[in-house]
Amino acid sequence: MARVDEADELLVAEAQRGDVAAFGQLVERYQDALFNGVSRMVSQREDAEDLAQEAFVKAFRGIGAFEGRSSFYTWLYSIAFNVVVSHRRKVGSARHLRPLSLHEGSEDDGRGHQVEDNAERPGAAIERRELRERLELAIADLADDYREVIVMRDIEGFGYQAIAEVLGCPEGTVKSRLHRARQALREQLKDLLV
Amino acid sequence: MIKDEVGTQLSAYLDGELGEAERRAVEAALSADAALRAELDQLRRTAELVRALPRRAAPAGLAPRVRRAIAVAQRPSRPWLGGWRAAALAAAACLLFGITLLLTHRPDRTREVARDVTPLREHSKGEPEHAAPAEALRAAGDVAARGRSSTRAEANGVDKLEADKELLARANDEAAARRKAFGYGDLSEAPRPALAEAKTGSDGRSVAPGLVKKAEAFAEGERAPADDGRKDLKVAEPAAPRPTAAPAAEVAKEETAKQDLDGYANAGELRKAGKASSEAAAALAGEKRRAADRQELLDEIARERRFAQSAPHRAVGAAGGQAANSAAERRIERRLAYTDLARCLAEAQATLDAASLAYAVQPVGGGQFVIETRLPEPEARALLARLTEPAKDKGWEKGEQPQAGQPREAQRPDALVVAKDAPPPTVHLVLRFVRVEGVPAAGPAEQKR
Repeated sequence: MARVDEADELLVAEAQRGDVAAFGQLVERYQDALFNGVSRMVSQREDAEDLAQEAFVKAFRGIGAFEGRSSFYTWLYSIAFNVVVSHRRKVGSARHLRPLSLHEGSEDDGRGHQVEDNAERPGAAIERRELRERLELAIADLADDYREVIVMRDIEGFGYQAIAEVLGCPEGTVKSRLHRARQALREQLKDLLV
Repeated sequence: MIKDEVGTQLSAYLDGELGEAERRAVEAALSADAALRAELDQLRRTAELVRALPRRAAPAGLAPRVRRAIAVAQRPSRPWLGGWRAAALAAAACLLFGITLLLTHRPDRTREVARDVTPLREHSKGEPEHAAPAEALRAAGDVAARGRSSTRAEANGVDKLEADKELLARANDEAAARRKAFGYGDLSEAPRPALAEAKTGSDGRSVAPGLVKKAEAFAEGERAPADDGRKDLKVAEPAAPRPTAAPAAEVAKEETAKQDLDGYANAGELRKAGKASSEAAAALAGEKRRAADRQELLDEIARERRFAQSAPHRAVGAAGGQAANSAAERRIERRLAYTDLARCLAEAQATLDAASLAYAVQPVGGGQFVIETRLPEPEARALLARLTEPAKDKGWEKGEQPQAGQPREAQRPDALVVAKDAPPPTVHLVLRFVRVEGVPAAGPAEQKR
């Protein structure tokens, strides 16, 4: 994610001057990404909505303190991350819970799916869905700190430095934790990787 | 670089997060170790699988929710708090505190009340072992501030009772100003409920709980307080239904005590009551018993209000079931649509007053209020026939606007859960008045009566 986004800079500057509409554009811009990230760390879709909303509101209240040392999204995500951590302290870890996307009625936006067409091998769609469910379950079953770095790196696409900023730890910690997280995930998916 | 160190660098190598020297060291190790290459391959495929997961789109309502939440967060804190509104709130807080004292001092706590009351009186005479009640006064918001003022006056040797009377007079003036400012003078002038005649059930107990309330402040539903059933008591005028056989002198005596407590239910008045004779103490106990009855009914209404606010179109059914479980009485519910709630309230009160019925009026928020009463079923049905507003229709029940020409019969069944202990001839009649808009001028309000 670009460290400096000019459009973000403008919108943030206007929001810092109290322009709610400008902040609304930032919300529109990042709501999908933030919801996607938050929803990977909680087990209930409703919780993800509430927490994303709370993060946006907190960001609006605190935008005056944003100095642009990281990207706006990294800053926003760090707020959301803290909101999720607080939530987890109240309700417990999301580990071992059925991942959100597997709940009935959950919706994905379809990005990441291959386009289905008539030429697709019979059963391929089912296999793809099963694979996705295996992955979702495997990620949900990771320890919280492993799942966090996997989500930030492989789903959100954060660099190590941004992850370290969000977590408030050295980059070396991020490096080793991410490696152990991938190893743990690999163990769970071993049969898929042969 | 030893092999284990290289292993921990593999993920960072995949992610391009290694420095030049580290990258070269890892590549050298990979070229010499097939197992390391296999591990790197599995880690890469693991990461690729995760990255291929579909992204979850935010729900459509998230951005609007955020905007609303920000709008709420942006509101200045209580910008409307000023001028006469602040005065009205102060008066309401004062009355609420007094009523709360009444409600929280149930008959089984009579001794506690006496302990709370008497020391205040005695403390004013300078007996230090009874200083505790001054602490109680400090415990309640605005009233606490006034309590502290009273405490200071007490320390200066000023008569606390006189100070409290002055406080009451100010509160009453403020409340009157508030009513006037809201334009509810017409409601306050509406016929007031006469003391109810006794309604005695099969068990010999009075089944009319003695609940006669004015509710001028909620004819405009949006202004109706919606938090706490007790809050609504600030406009209450509880009457004291007595058995018809009660001697007139006793009724008069209790009425005097009731007026004292209702009009001035604050700590100072309780001190006054505590100072009074055993006769007055008995009146206080009776009033507290009635307050307990009143609170029971208000709690029930509050439950209905919560249902009404959360799911209006399901409120009646759900509330009816719940109430039937808690009240051992036959229950009739009717929802009546009006275009002019103020007029509706006045008319309903006049009808109930003419029938000498005890009743309770309660705002339930959202432009609604409820009148509850208990009476024999034939009387309930006769009353309903007089009150029924002919503009109800099924669409209205679902939150739509009633239209002229649509079916006008009440769509709610007469709810009729009969609890096993219910005295059959008595019903709990719940009339829910709902303001509707968009009804033609010749609609319900015009056709009523």
